[in-house]
Parts: sequence; C-alpha cells; structure tokens
Amino acid sequence: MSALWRFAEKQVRDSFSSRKFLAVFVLFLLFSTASVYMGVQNYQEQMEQFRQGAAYMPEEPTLMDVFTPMMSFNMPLAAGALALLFSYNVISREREEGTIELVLSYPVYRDEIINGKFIGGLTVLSTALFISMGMSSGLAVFMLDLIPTIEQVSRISFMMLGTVVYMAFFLALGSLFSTVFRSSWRSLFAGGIALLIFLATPLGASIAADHIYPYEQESPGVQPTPGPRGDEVVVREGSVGGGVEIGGGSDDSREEQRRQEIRDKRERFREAVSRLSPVTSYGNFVNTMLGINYESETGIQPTLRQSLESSWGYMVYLLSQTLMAFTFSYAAFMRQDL
Amino acid sequence: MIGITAIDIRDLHKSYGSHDVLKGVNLQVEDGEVFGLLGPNGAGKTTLFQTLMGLLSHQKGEIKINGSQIGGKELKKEIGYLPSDISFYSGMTARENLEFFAGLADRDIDSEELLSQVELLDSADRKVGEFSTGMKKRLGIAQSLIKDPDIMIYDEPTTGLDPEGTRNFRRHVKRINREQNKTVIISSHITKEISSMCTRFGVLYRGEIVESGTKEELNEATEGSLEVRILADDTSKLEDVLEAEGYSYTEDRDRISVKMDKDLRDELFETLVNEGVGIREFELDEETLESAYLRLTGDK
Repeated sequence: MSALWRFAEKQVRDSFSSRKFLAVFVLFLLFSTASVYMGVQNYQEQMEQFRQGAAYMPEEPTLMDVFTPMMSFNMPLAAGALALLFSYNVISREREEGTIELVLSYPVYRDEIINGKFIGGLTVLSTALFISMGMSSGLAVFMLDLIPTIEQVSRISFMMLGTVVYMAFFLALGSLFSTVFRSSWRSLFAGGIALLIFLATPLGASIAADHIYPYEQESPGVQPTPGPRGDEVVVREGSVGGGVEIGGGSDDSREEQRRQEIRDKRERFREAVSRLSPVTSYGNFVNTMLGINYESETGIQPTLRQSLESSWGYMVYLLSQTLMAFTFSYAAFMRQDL
Repeated sequence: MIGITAIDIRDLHKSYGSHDVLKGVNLQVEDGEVFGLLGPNGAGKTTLFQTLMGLLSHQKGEIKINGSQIGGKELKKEIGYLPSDISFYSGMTARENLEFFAGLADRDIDSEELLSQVELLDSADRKVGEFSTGMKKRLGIAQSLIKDPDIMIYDEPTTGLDPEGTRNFRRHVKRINREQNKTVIISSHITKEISSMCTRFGVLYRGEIVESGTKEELNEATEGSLEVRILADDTSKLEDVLEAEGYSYTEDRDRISVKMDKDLRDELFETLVNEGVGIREFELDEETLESAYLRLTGDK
C-alpha cells in the first residue's frame, strides 16, 4: 500500500473513531431529517392545493418536492460547514502536534500526504452524506407512502454526487487554510468567513447589479447612467409626460429594447459575480436536477435527460472550482518547508 | 563501506529571510563513526539536521550521502532520524505508531522486537498520548530503526531521558555502531552526555562549524591543557615515576590526575609500562571536551 493510501486510511480511521465525527454526523443526520420532514409537510400542503385545483399548482407535486428545502436552502450551508470542519486542521494539526517532522523524515512525497488526507476526508464526508440522505429519503418514503420511481432515485443520486463535489470544494479550501495558517483556530476562522462570503455572494451580486444597473433606468424619462465599463445606455429625454426618445427613435419597441438591454446587463453582471461562488454552481445544479429552473420557465417538469443536459455545465463549473481550490492547497503545501 | 564519507556537507547556507542560520557549514562524517555535534541552543544544530534530511530547503551548498547527491525518497531511506521534539500520533498506541511509520517506509517490522529494545514492550498497546517525554523519546529511538538505515541522526536524544534512559541510549548507540556498523550523528549542547559515545566531534557555533576532530584535537586546537586520570596498583610508585619524568600532577582520592600542555599520553603510557607501574585505568578527563567546547563557543 502506498503512502497516499496509508494517509487516506488513517484519515478515515481517525474520523470514524473520533467524537468530533460522531457529534457532527449526528447533527448532520438531525438536520437532514428535519429538512426532509419540512419537505414532507410542504409536499402535503402542495398536494392539498393541487387537489383543490389551485391555479399556481398546475402540476401534481412529486417526491422531488420533498427534497427542495433541504437541497436548495439548507444543504449549501450544512455541507460546506461539515466539509470545513473536517479539513480545517488536516495539516496545521500535524504541525501543532509536531508529527509533520517525523512524517516527512520518512520516504514519502509531500503530495501523498495532502492527497491522502483529501481522499480520506472525502470518503468520510461522502459516507456521512449517503447515510443521512438514505435515512431521510427512507423517512420521506415512509411518511408519504410513495414508491420512488427509477428517475427520482436517479435524480437524488445525481444530487448527492453534486453534493460530494460541493463538499470536495470546501474540503480543499479547508486544506488550503490549514496549510497556509499555522494555527488551526485561524484556519477554522478563515474557513468560516469564506463560507459566509460564498453563501452571501449571490445576494451581494444581486445588490451590486441593482446598484450598477438601477431599476430607475428602466423608467421612461431617465438620463443615461454609465455602466461599469462606460458602456452607457443611451437615453434621451422627451417632453414631460410625453414620449421618450431613445437612440433618436421614439416608438414602443425601442423603449422595450432599451429596457431589455438594461435587464440583460444587470442579469449578466449578477450571474458573472454569483458564479464566483461555488454555492451558486451547486444551487444551479441542484435546482436543475429538482426541475425547479425548468419548471419555472416552462411550467412542466423536465425529464431526467433534460435536467442532465441543463445541469452538466454547472457541474463542470463546480468541478473546476474544486480543482482550483485543491490546486492552490496542493501548491501551498508543496512549496512549504516542514 | 569503510573509507567512504557517509555525510559530506560543503558550504551549506540556510536563512530565514534576512536571518542566516547556517553560514557555510562544512562537515564530513566518516562511515561507521559516531559523531557528536556540539553547540549551544540556537547554534543551528536542528536546522542543520532538518536541512540534511531534506525537510528544509537550503539556499546554497552541497550535501552528499555515501558519496552521492541524493534527495527525496532515496535520501530519506538512507537515514534514520530522531527529531529533538519527537511527537507521535497521540490517539494511536505505540505499536500502531510504529506500524504506521513502517508502512510509510514500506517495511515489515517486528514491532515487539523494536519495543523491547527500548524497554517499552509493556506499553506497546498504550496510547502514546499517555506517554511521558522519556517514553516518547524511547519510542522515537525505536522508530529510528524502522528503516534499518546506514546512517542515524539523533537530535538532542538525551533531553527528557532519566539517567537510566540516558545510559540505555548510550548502550544502544554503541550496539548499533559496533554490531551493525551504523554511522551515528548525535547532537547535544551538553558535552558530558555524549562525550563517551562519540569518536569525533564538531562544534557548531552561530551557524558555522568552528572546529571538528577528536577530543584531543579539539583541545589542542583551542590550546587547552589535557588531563589524564590514572588508577595504578601502586600509587606511590606512580607518583615517583611522574616526579622523575617532570610531570605535574594532583591527587584525587585513589586516582592521579596528570596535566599536560600537549598530547603526550602515548609517551607517558609507555614510560609507565617500562617503569613497571601496574596501570588499572588510564583515561582522558571528561572535562577536556567541555573546556574545549566552552573555549570555542566563548561561553566561559
């Protein structure tokens, strides 16, 4: 067995035998059970409304709706926090306890240490996720007395896979902080701040987009405001209470075109900034797998194939973010003395 | 392997920012010898060992092990290392720790045999977190043997050991040196602890090897006097011979201490034998090394 697998094995063994793991796992289990319980209640309410023929409930709710609260709202925070808790001290603890000197005096490559710990950490996290998701899914099935279809099982499996990649990002980020900061507490603090920033990025992006491309610009009779790169929207004021002259024209279609341009720019800016956060990539992926995005646009549930076609880009983006975080972590560790 | 320089360090420089820790260290340790690296705290002994082990990068210089410049895994396979602040995984037992490190070295070990060598067999299944400093040190000595290397580096090995532990360590060093012909380098800032173990010494002071050689060579280089302690069958006969030959001496209970400005031990020994003095002990005073060390490091 190579050193890499020895470190991975040790990481798994240490985690499963630690009280920290047990405590965090129980919390995770409680969280997922509570989330699914909320989802079941939502499902039952939606089913009631559907039966009553509510206009906003044209489609019968499905088992996937049970997972919406957990996957869309709660998981980004819980999975990120869990991954950080398992990685914030992977290297700094070795330094604090002084074992790194002895380890590195053995014939091992430095990358075997960090890769092994990463693999071990991801194995533990995936196990925790699969157990808790399995149990909460079982609870949902039991409470609703529904047999999930193969497609629904596939969707849940894909979402779990996405969650594993999402957790891998934070695992790599925690490893990076653990390598860069000599103190585990500083590493944990930095990880917590980073998680909060990533969670707040979509909201921050919306606020910034609204500020740069304000809604007032969409109103008639407004002077042009420069865009972030000076790409100002050309608006010419017409007479008060009268028509609006846009780009020399004055018809409704040009006005609508101008508004659309502003909306598009605002949306592009918001998306560009939001995408810096893995929370956005993960959220987009999960929402697409749940069918939320597609359904809101078309009013019908997408097929699994349609969901996969729409979501693979988000997954690739999330994977590249994870790879980037891991590369930084790897490079930082490789360049360090001791 | 006799005649090969086991460790050859030339012009080694290591600095942290603007702080130079090693300023052109030159050190040669011959195969099969026990070499003592002396130096006060902060002299750079640990940095030198860590650089030698490839744990720290260096700015300039050359390190050869058994005649070749090697690095990475190959280097680490060649050297057994006991860090000064040895730490193990506290949640694992002594046996588990040894087996884990043996796995890293890709070695099959008899952990019980290694633990019995350092008298820790009874604590084999105790968690290392419960161990005293001395026990950890002993476990560290056991782990240094895992790789079965030709060269052993012990950084401040006797720190934290009780007198019995120190004595056992001396025995261990002698055994691995004599029976297994291992080259051993031991660092310390306390000369008495390693003077009887080592055949040669180097004094590292402010990042440089200021002198190296045997006890006598160090003494001569620092222009110090030698003191030989002699235990004879007939003390009065010994005194007569010393007086006749013009040696100055003092009595120290049943032994006689002879002071000499240069190393005339061979001549003195021969004279005493020729004069029929029955010699039971004839040894260089341990103080000689310490005095030389203090003169070199300016701590006196």
